[in-house]
Amino acid sequence: MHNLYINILNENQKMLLKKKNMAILVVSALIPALIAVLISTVQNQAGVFVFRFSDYPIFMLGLFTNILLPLFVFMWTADTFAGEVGENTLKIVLVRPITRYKVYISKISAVGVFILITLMVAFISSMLAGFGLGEAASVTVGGLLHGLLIYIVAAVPMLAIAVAAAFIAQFFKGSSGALMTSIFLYLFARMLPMVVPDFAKISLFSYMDWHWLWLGNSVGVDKIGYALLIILSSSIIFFAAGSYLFDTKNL
Amino acid sequence: MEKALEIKDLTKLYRNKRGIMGISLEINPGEIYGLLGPNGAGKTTIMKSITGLCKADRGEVRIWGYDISKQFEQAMATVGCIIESADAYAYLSAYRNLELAGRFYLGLKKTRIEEVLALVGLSNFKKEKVANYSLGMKQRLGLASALLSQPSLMILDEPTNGLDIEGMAEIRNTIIQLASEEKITFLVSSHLAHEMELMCHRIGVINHGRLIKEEAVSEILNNYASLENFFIQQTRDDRGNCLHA
Repeated sequence: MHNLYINILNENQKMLLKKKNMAILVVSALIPALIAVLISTVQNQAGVFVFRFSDYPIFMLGLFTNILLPLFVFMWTADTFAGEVGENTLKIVLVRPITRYKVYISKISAVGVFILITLMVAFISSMLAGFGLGEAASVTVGGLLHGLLIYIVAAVPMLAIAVAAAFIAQFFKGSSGALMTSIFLYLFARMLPMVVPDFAKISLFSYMDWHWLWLGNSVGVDKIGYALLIILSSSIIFFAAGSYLFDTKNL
Repeated sequence: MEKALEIKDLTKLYRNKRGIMGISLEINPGEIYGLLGPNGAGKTTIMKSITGLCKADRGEVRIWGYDISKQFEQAMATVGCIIESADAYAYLSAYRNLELAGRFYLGLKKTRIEEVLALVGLSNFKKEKVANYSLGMKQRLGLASALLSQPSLMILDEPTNGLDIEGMAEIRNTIIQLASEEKITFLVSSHLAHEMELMCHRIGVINHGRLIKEEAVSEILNNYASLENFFIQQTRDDRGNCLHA
């Protein structure tokens, strides 16, 4: 277990020290602020009421979970798996006293940590930016904590698509191929329910905004349970397949 | 006495039918064993199979008695290696690369990083990003990374690759010194017969994926003019045609 923990630490440090990942965190902090400025300008000039403060973080979360975070997740997993194969740096960790299975888990865990960090940055930025949209005085501690919980819950399907993207990355020897394929398959899976509506019920990618199930005064336990089942079962299948391919990979 | 490395019937064939077949050898503790063969003979495939970078089709590899297929972590805890090329994370400094590697080894002192950097002559460049390093500097960093954990078995694939004459001599002397003073066991591969002659205790000749002959260097030099002559005689017939193809 020691080596598993050590490699999670190493993978996180590697991700933090890459300039583009720091740029992603900065962008994640800036986007809510920029959009809030835009909305505020529209509201002031056109006299149109678009958002209240309490709605803004949830609106931003939808933008992150449907568009931005999946893109970031695909990039992180493509880099950490296929990218390292292409750069010949994957073998650096594979010749250390750690099994491939633990390396696989630690790389996905590192992406998971970054998902959480990005969501927290987005949450804080959305909250602060939302002050400019009015009604900040009505904020309660309970409301803040509920908002934080919604953001944390949103990490679950994001981690699941990281597991799926890690599986896809096993077929590539460079990050660009893995990234483009992940994006293409994601778009295909999001659009397929328009043609085959039943697909939405069993597709992991239809639950990117499952955090909506957690909103409201009463939480739909049955719907959350079903969504969680789909997310978990998809994750297990992709994890098993991905870890097998990683374990048998010849370098 | 337990063998440092035992390989039995190691076979790995790629899709193009090239690879290694039926490799069996043993290396004693404190020995410098050289794998000598031309490019494409299978030296790197053997080393990749030993360190788990590729999965063998058949055979057994034991490092200090530990089976690498079942006890990988225990086996690799005592191994330092450079396989195919000395790679490092280019966006990190030499010091940071070694820091990441060093965490896997419980009880490793922080001063060890400075020690190995000094040993390979990279102390003045430790904070520079590896992306700015020359090939020789990267090779030295690879050696530092392999030595970091104070391994009892070093597996080095063409360790003098990219080094100038002085650098090659330095690495060679470091290997000889570590083997005699620290009792580290070495498995070294090269296509340069003269380099192996100066460094190794025993040689295994590899050609077309097979281990053709093993012999002590002292015996080879007693019976042949040079290691080069020995290699040619083992791999070519009287007409100069390649044997074992």
